[in-house]
Parts: sequence; structure tokens; C-alpha cells
Amino acid sequence: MGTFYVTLKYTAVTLWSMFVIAPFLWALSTSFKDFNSVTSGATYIPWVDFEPTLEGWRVLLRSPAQGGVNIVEPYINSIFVTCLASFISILLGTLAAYALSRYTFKAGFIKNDDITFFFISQRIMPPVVLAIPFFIMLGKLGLLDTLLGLVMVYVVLLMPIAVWIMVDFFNKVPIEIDETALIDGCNPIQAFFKVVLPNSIPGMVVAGLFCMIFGWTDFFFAFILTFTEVQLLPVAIVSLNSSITPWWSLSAAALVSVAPLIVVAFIVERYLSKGNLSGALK
Amino acid sequence: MTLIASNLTTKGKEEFFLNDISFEMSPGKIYTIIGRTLSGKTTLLKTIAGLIAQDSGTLSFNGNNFDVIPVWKRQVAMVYQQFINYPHLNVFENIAFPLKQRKVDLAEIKNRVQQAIEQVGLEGFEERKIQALSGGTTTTCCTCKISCEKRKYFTTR
Repeated sequence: MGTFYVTLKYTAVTLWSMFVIAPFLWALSTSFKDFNSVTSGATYIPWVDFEPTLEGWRVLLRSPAQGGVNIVEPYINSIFVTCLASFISILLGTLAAYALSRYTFKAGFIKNDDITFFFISQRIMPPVVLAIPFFIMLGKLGLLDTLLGLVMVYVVLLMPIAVWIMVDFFNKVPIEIDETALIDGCNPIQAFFKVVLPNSIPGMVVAGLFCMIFGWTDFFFAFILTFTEVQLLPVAIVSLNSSITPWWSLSAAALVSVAPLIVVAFIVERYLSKGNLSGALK
Repeated sequence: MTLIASNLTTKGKEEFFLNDISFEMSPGKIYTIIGRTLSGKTTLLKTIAGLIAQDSGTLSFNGNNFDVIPVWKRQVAMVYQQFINYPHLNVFENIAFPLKQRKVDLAEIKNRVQQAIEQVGLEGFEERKIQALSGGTTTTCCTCKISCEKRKYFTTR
């Protein structure tokens, strides 16, 4: 029974790994192909099945005048917008979530759960509903086609995720920890920053990761709210497409665009396992 | 240094948590509050600590109104049934935390914490994280934190 279970487990893990890794291998292989290698049937192994070329990667660094799509600037823009918007979202979201978790708010029939649902409802409605209001507001503020405008919009989009995750996290943090901090001489703000916040890092990391994923991969608002001055990575990648789909450069761009998320996932992974609250109550 | 409670009353939606409680506690004595489950023992202790505000009645300490003093300035110690420690700090930092909050001199903190640690036999555990302690050692760490401070009242539940 033990051997069977272990075999089953490893088989499942292997199959799942193949399922996850296969698209990356496909993209990696395709990024080194040229037009002929892509269109002449299935080829997999470089130097055996096809002659590898760096053309797909070079297109990403060439200027549009040279027939390429320079993704360096959109890449930096995307990193700036995603990181800043995620940071602000986590900062404001954590404070809002702590208040919703620890204090009771009541305005008529509206209570804490309703306020929390209000935050979440921002993500339930289709993005297209928000597109026109955002467009008009940013236009009036003179922030269309600017990084600041995009950061503002992304904060609105990402903060509900942070609030949602952090409310749930704070609800699991024993209130006795806050009370002990107060008794130990902290005022409520000190109790939050010196005791609750350091123990909430795993929750903030998860919320931050989700914010970064949603911010990094958003195409819709990046496309609607920018024109010529500012371009984000998803829009730059789509602009690679022409009458002939350049699978080689699209694959290279896909790998480049997914790389930061993989790096972030590896960095934050260790924070997810440490700093838990297991020692708080015994 | 006498703690006097006069007609403390705290009411929920339907029932009383504290119903007209009055008592006088003198310094240097040990008092035990006994009652059945949900009779309001914890509410009373939390009211004394300042974690819960009573609906009516007054608490006075040494002749002064205790109600106007916020919980973090009352210098009341409270040990929870579950023995609360801060998971992000090690044993030494946990014990030193209240002293640091009250801005005690750093050398004094080190001295007092070390003394308290030696008294309860926690030597060698100073750098350990709370998660790495056994249940018994966690309890010792928690009570050690209280004992190295000179607080005015000590309550436990």
C-alpha cells in the first residue's frame, strides 16, 4: 500500500510537472526558430531538428524603425507600474484590512462584512464597466498616457485583492496578541506596527504576489489608457503581431515577460513558510 | 494603592456581562475570582486591564480615576490562559519587550531580563524562537516576561 501510494504520488507529480513545464519548453524551443522551422512541421531539438537562430530575441531589442519592437522601455514601465501599484495596494489594503478585522463599523445596515464585500465587488464587475469612467477621469486630470495615471488605476484594481486576502489573514491572527501588546505598553498603532504587522508578513507576501501577478498581466487597462507616450509590456508584446504571426519573437517575449514573476515567486517562497503564528498560542 | 470598583456594569444586546459589580482590592494581597463559565470573570479582568470599557460604574486606583488611563499606561499585567508570546521575537526579545516599550534603560533591561531568565531556569533559550519552545517553556517565558517588570496589578485567567 505504501509503495503504491508513493508511486501514485510521484506519477501525479511528474505528470503535473510535465503539464506545467511543457509550455515553457515549447516557448523556449520556438524562440530559437525562424519562419521555416516553425512552418515546416513539428520540430523539437535544436541542431538536430532545426538550426537555432537568435532572430526571435533580436526583434525584441530592435527599434520599430529597424523592424523590431523595443521592449526594454515597456518592460521598465511595467516593472515600475506593477511594483509601485502593488506596494501602495498592500500598504493601504493592509491598513484597511486590519481596521475591518479588529474594529466594528456600522452605518445603518452596512457592517464590516458589507464593506469587505464592497472591496471584493470591485473585482467582480467586468473591467470594461470601469474603462470609460477611468478614461474620462484620467483625461480630466491630464493623466492619460502617463505612468502615474496607470499606477492610480492599478491601485484601484489591486487593492481589493490585498484587502480580501489580508482581512482573512488578520481574522486568523488571535486578537489576544493585540491585547497582550496593549498590556505590554503599546498604543494601538504601535501594537499594529510592532507586533501584528511583523507576524503578518506571510499574508502580505501572498497578497503582494497576487497583486503583482494581476498587475503584471493586465492588458485591458494598459491598452485603453495609453497611446504613444507610455507603453506597458503586454501591449508591446501584442504589437509584435502582424500579418504573419512571428511565433519565434512572441515566444521570446512570453519568456521574458514571465521571468520576473518566476523570480518573485522564488524570492517570496521562503517567506511563505516562515514567520507563521504557530508559536503565538500554546 | 487600592483598586476600587464601583457598580461596574457592562451589558450586551440582551444579557449583562457585568451587573453592578463593586469590590475593593488592597495592595499585597491575592484575590481569586470564581464563577461558572460565562459568568463574566474574563470581562471583569479585561475591564480592569482597560481592554473593555464598562457601560457604567467607575474604577479608581489610589484615589484617582482609573477609567481615563488607557490600557497601555495602566501597568497591569495579564497572563492569558493560552500564554501569549510574540512569534516574531526570540525568548530574550519577548521578555524584554514590555521593558523596551516603557523606555527602560537598555543596560537595565539586559540586567533584569538576564536575572529573570536565570530565576526561572531559561538559560540557554535566550536566542530561541518561540515556535521552537515546548508548551511548558513557552509558559515559563510568558510568566518570566511579567515577573521582570514591576507592574502594579497582575491578573491571570
